[in-house]
Amino acid sequence: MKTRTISFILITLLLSLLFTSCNEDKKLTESTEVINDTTKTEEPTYERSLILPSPLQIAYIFKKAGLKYDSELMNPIANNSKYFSEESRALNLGVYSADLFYCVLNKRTQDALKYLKVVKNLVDNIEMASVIGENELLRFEKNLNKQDSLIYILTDIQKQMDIHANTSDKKHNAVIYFTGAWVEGMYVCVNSAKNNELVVKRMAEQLTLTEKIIESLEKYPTQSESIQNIILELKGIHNSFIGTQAIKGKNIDDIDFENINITPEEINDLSSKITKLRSIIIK
Amino acid sequence: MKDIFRTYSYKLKRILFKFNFILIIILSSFAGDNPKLCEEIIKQSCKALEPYNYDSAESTIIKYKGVEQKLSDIEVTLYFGERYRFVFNTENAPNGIKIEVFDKKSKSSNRQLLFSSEEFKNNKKILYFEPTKSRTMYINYTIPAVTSSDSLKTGCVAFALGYEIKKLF
Repeated sequence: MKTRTISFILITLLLSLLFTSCNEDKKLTESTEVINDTTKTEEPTYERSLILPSPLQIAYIFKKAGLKYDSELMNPIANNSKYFSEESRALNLGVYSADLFYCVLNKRTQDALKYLKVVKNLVDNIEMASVIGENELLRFEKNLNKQDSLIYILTDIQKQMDIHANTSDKKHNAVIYFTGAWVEGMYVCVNSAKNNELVVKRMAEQLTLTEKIIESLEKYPTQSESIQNIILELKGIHNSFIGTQAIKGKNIDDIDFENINITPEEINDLSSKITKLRSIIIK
Repeated sequence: MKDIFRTYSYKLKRILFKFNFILIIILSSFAGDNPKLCEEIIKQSCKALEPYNYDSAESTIIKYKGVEQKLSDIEVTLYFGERYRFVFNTENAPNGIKIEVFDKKSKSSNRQLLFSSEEFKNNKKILYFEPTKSRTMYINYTIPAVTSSDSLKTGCVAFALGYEIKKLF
């Protein structure tokens, strides 16, 4: 009997310890933003944290600048069945989200509904099923003729995705998603508005994000070949951008994007690099 | 004698079972505390953005230390001609946390302080900042040293960004 009692005590204590250690592991993965012990005010570290803008805001800015609708530029819905890995799904979730925003902002509501269904399908497959439920689809369908409401619904979905990524171990997926959305937005922009001066200025402003995206992707835990290729292409775009006459040798923080001038040759160079990167992502 | 021992052993087992059960519950309740703590304050921050349109949000989990800590240059991209609102939620952050927004990185010699939480003397937990000019900005968090051993060990500060959206048609 004594042995059984001792065994019981040991088992229960072991169980307690097991729970404690599990909790510690969980805390470590969740606390990615924990400030380091070595960080002191006497020697501040220049640890850079990035807050990426929403792809919806980027699409809104392009639309406001005069970007026109061209359905040929969007990723065809049929391509959706080609994406099997979590990485390609996250990337193309971004691509299709950008297309969805593009449709909504141009009042192409039937196309928008089709793209929302593709987005929902991808979201379901990358463990974020709770973000877009049948309820959201219904709300979207009911409000097809009200652009304000559609923007509100999409903003709400974006918010849920961000909160999910922020409070789970899926933060890296958020970066991959953003990359896909950003590249798609830029692809549409460079291929439909090369002659619109304001859109070009907005495009130049967007290009300041390439460095941030590269930095964020390099932190991605598993550097697959595909991510490495994307980083490489992004570095090419970044180098072209910082090599333009308007940027060369200047501090990005000092550039006046309202009055920036990018030459047609520089636009063509950037355009071909963005198009190449986009084809890698959607293939 | 054997019966007494059996009764004693049975009671001991029940006490231990209850104790361990409570211990397990207490320990489990700590798991996931931080994300939940952050989730709630992010949601509050997003709500405080209204009437601005949600753009992005970020939570930073803070581990209290015996020395003052600084997290510098959290970069926020703002686009020219657009209007924005910053919301900081310090509800679950350490007392005395200092939040500052600058126009340039820490390394820049000529950077300007655009916002400081020290302007809010009335102990407000949700702080707003609406910049007059839109361009990339940098957020700094300074976390004071914790001296008392019974102080809370972790906290969370949330930031949300909203932009003004105008009718397109």
